Amino acid sequence: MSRKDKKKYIQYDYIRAGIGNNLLRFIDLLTIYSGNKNYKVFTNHFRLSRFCKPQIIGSKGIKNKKKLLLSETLNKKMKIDLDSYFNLVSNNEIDKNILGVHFRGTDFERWKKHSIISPNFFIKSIEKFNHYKKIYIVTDDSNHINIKTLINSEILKKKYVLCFSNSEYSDFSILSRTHKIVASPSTFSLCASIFGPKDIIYPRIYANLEKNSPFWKGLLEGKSTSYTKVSLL
Amino acid sequence: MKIFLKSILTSPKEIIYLASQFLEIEDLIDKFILIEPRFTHTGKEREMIGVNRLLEICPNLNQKLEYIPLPFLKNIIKNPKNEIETHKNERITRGSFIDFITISPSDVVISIDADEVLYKSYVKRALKRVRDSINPFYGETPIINQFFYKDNYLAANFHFRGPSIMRASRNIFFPFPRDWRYSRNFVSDFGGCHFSWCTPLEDLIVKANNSAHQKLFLKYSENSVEKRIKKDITEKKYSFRKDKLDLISLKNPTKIWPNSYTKLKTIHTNKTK
Repeated sequence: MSRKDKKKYIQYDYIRAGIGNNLLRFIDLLTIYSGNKNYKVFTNHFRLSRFCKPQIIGSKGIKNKKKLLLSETLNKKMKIDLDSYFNLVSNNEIDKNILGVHFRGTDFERWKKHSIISPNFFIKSIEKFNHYKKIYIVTDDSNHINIKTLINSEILKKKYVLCFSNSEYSDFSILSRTHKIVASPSTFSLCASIFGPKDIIYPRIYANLEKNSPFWKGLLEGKSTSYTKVSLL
Repeated sequence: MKIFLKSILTSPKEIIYLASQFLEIEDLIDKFILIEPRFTHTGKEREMIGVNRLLEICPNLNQKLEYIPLPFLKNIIKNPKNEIETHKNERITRGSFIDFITISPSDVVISIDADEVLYKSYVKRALKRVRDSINPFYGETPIINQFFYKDNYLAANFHFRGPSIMRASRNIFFPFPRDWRYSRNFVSDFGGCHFSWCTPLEDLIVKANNSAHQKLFLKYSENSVEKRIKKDITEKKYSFRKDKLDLISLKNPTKIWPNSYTKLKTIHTNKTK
């Protein structure tokens, strides 16, 4: 076999960001090379490989140098079959009675204050989807005042509510097994939705503040997205 | 130093034991790692159960739950040829959780299988021994009471050892998954109960086909496995081993059962009435 015929291997370069951010970039990279049989994309980062099928786990290849954009992943015309690369949640694992709520605090509180979403958004969403009997709240900041306000709200007193704030993989697994997700603007919840229920609601008020970003602009214009249905409320 | 309880979820019928174990020692542990593999010990895909039922039974579990749906991993043997290979899959199920969670060498792991429930009193004593030991790799394995087919059918002349309590350092440095059981440091304490095959007959047959001990049952047809189990139950014997075990039907098994199991069993019995 000549040197030209050899397959080239690309290694995803894990960036210092959350798991959601890295998953979306990795999906983007897989999409970029999906049409090219001469290339194969791998990851060897333990946080990412937990979500991947064995055929894309490995240390082979040179570091990716292509620029990867979060918004590209959801708005690209070309789609990949996620099921052949990732351990997605099957339909029978999703409980139709559970509404997932994802509240992100911690670092948002320091560097992106407007991303701390008011409990009113979650209460309004729960009222709108009142048919859900169970509410699973997943958060990285269970002591946040907004979480306390939410849990003590009248509407939640009538529901079966559980709050999860454990390790990343466990919380992701719980959130991605709910039927619909109402969430803070975070790639963690976006990925949980892509891997699981494929239905997520974000706050419109936040989209308006971020209307210069292609992702939020697209949502405000009602553009459809790949891999999951994203709505604003 | 954190204390982890670690177990495996593979059958809805075992939820009562998992719930019992959590309720029995919830105030002694920091986290409950629950592994749910997507594969059986025989490398077949299995239907996932999820944790919702368990969460309903255990009101505070959400605060401590580390749920690990375990995907098909690279090293799983899909069509195992012999018992060694099925046991390898079993070991992957038991030991791969360390790739999904942060665990440090000084942490303590209480490692059980789904049908094993340790007594709170024993766990308290064992944790004290782990803390007091100067051995950084300390681990111990108690004797546990063995029940077969029914939760009052005690194999009185047989004491089982398997579940162990140990420092994580004992296993986390190995480059391959470990069993997290049989620590070799056998202590003479009676640590709990093992409810083997205490499920309805149809589940037993499914379990026999997916078990790491599958080969033990392969020589019998499905029909004869059923007949044999029925005969065993009638004769109060466990015959799937070289030396058959006599089973005693206890009139008051609550003396041996962990308290939490007795409580859950009472609630369950009252509900079905």
